[in-house]
Amino acid sequence: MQQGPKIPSARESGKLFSKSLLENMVVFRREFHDSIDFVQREFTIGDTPAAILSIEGLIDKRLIAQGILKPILDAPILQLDGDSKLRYIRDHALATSDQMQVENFPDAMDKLMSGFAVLAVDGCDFMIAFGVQGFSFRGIQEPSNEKAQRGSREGFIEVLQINISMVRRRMKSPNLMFERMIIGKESQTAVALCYLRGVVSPEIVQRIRTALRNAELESVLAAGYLIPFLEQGGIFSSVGISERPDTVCGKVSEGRVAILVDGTPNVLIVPYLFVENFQSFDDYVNRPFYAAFTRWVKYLSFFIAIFLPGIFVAVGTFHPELLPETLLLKISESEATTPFPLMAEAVVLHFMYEIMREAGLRVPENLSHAVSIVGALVIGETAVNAGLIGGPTLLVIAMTAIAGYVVPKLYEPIAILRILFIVVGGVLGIWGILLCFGAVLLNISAESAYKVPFSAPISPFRLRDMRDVIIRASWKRLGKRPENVQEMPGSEVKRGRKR
Amino acid sequence: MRETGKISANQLFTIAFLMRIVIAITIDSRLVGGNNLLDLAVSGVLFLVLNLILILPTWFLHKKYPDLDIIDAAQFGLGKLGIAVAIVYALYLLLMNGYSLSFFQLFMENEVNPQTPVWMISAAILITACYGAFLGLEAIARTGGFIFLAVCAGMLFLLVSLLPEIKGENFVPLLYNGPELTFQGVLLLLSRSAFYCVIPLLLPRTTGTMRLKYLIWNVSLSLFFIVMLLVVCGSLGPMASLGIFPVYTAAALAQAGPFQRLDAVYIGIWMMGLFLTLSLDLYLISFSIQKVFGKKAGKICMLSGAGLLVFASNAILLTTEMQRMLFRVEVILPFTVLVGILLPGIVLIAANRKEARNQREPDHRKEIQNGK
Repeated sequence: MQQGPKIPSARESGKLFSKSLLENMVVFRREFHDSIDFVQREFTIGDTPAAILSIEGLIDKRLIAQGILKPILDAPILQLDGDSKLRYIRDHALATSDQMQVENFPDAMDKLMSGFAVLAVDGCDFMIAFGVQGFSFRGIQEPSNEKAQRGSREGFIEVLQINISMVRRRMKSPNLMFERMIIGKESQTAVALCYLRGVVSPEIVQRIRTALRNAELESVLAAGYLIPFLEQGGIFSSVGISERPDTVCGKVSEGRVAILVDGTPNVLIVPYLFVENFQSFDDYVNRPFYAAFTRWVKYLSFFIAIFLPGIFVAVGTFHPELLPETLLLKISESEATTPFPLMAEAVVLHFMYEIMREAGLRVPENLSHAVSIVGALVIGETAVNAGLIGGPTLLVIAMTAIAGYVVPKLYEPIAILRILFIVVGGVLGIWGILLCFGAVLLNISAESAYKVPFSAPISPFRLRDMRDVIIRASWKRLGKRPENVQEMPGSEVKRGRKR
Repeated sequence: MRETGKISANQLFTIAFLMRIVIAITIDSRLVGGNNLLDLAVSGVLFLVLNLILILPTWFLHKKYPDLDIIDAAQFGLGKLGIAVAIVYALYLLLMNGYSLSFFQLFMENEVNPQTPVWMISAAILITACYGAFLGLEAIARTGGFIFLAVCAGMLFLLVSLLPEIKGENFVPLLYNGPELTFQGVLLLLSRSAFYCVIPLLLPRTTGTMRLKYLIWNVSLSLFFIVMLLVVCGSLGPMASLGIFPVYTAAALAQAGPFQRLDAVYIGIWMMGLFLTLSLDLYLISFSIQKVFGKKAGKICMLSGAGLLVFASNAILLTTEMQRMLFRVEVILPFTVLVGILLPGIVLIAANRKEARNQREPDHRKEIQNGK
């Protein structure tokens, strides 16, 4: 069937209010398609018809009744016309309330969907929106994905305003800026860019603004929706994610931009460098020598998580001479009883582990024990006892899995690269692993995070920056000259100026 | 390709260091017909001095036209003949890549004899190198930084693990059989120095102080070369001069605690250095061709060049005559001298003469700067 030309909605066309309340109400109902959560309460002020509009669940009904309706109905405005009544309400009766005047349908609808109540009076071509937000939300808790031993126990929640306040409470600087944007044609999600003026590079902020404005999305339901618009797209992401306000404040003070998205506790951080994946908030709270040690543990775990199964397969298949004799004998004794080649064994085990992991994540909590038992007993013990898989292979995959959790920020690339290295090691031996490692290095090196090399400060190298890479220097040294992301070696952007 | 930016002088010399490391660790006195490997240490010192002289044509060209690479300068000075310079550079790089790759394959076939077919390893090296070339100069340069750290750590580990094996009686007097091997060694080092061809193309895209870093690079390379030869000769004795690939032999005999046979470290260093060198060379082949024939032609040349290399490097290994022909110093040396040393000089002279002719034209400087 041929469709006629699409009539733009009042929201799309930016339509202004009519003076007739009835006409305005018709437009609102049409725009909301008589949705059940759109509430239109009609009443009269004297003899003038009026209506208060809101969205069910987003507002505090008691506040509307006591804070808005009661003062209006008590006001001495019965003799005035509609327009004057609304002006009196605005300037006198409710002058102390959180209110703003709206002139057109798009603004009014945005306010309604943000938890405002809109007061319309017949004979007026403007309306008043009252801030009466009263929706329920999750309380502030410790972030489950980013725990710290000694830092704050506060984590971001889903409400943008509260997240903004958590950052502001920690950085009481007038240079701390929050810029509001709306992204998503349908979801109209509020997004806030947070940066420290005078520290951040204006060029980076501008590029982020442009990237977000150009993001063609119908809806933005999580921060992850925006990541592809902010990064180049290598194996490793140049956009960081944090659930901790203290981490975000630390990053912002180093010249980065935080992107807070309404409806999600995850805050995006750009530019984000490769080495930052190994830094956690605890590093900066613990004593330097221990922080440096844990950082090396993370580097080692990263290499184990990616390379160990691949090297095991390569050495076991092509280069047994590289292993000490005793170890070689143990491995060959175990593998002699299994029907599959080493590479197939490793790949299958790795997939089994990933299946169990996914099951563990998705399964209801009361069933997770069953998954663990099936995983440990059936897969682990029975498969080895039955001679289907070798004990050393299982041990390697298990070690690899645990090592992967030491650097949780890199879990996704680790999981993929691990399989790649197993396959390459099984086909080309240690030579393949070396070359694949070279390709991964190339991929990391090719990426730029807003004109800052993603691989900095290792390559391009600067010795001074190693104080927070190879070691974690004491705050006496770190505090003297804070490291700014725009000042990384190879950076093509400059720091902004304080006004 | 993603990038358009510049690299730093540190990054340039890091890549150059890796290129030379590959030459150094594959040094073999039998390639120059001698029997005292230690004499080549003197070659290293002489080569240092020679390096400081032979770079002068390229240096003067860069000083006069800092924004032009040799292809732009050739097109300015030689007109349409400048196109030939781009082709010569691409062909030379292809030749040197074939040389390096077939040398590596020869080593793998004869010394390592891996279970994986060697042609597959070569193909994998070239695929990775093509990926690097596709990502561009900045990616290659930054990767060079990572590989440099790994190679230095690997070499240090290798040399330190050989220290206990050094015996005083293994050292024979220098130049005992006359200076001929030393001079041949200098020619060998010179013939394999594709760096002379790389630098005229990269100088305009490099930032930072060049002179001091060039000197530091040269001195550190010579020192590394001398220390490596001293350790290898001291630990292997006469075997160092008799066997092929003496550094590999030393690595295979080295022990460090529970680690036995450090030849894997040696091969790793060679392979990573080779892969990076090939990446850069393939990138420069594409760069040279795209300067005169456009971007698409550059990419096609790079990919077809890589494909050709897989076949050529295998074909060279089929007959001993082919190997002898390619691996002889006299064959490669003229090409290196022509492309890396004479060509920059010729281009400089031609550009100077063209500039002198254009003296009356008011905007000739502008023309030069625009690379027309």
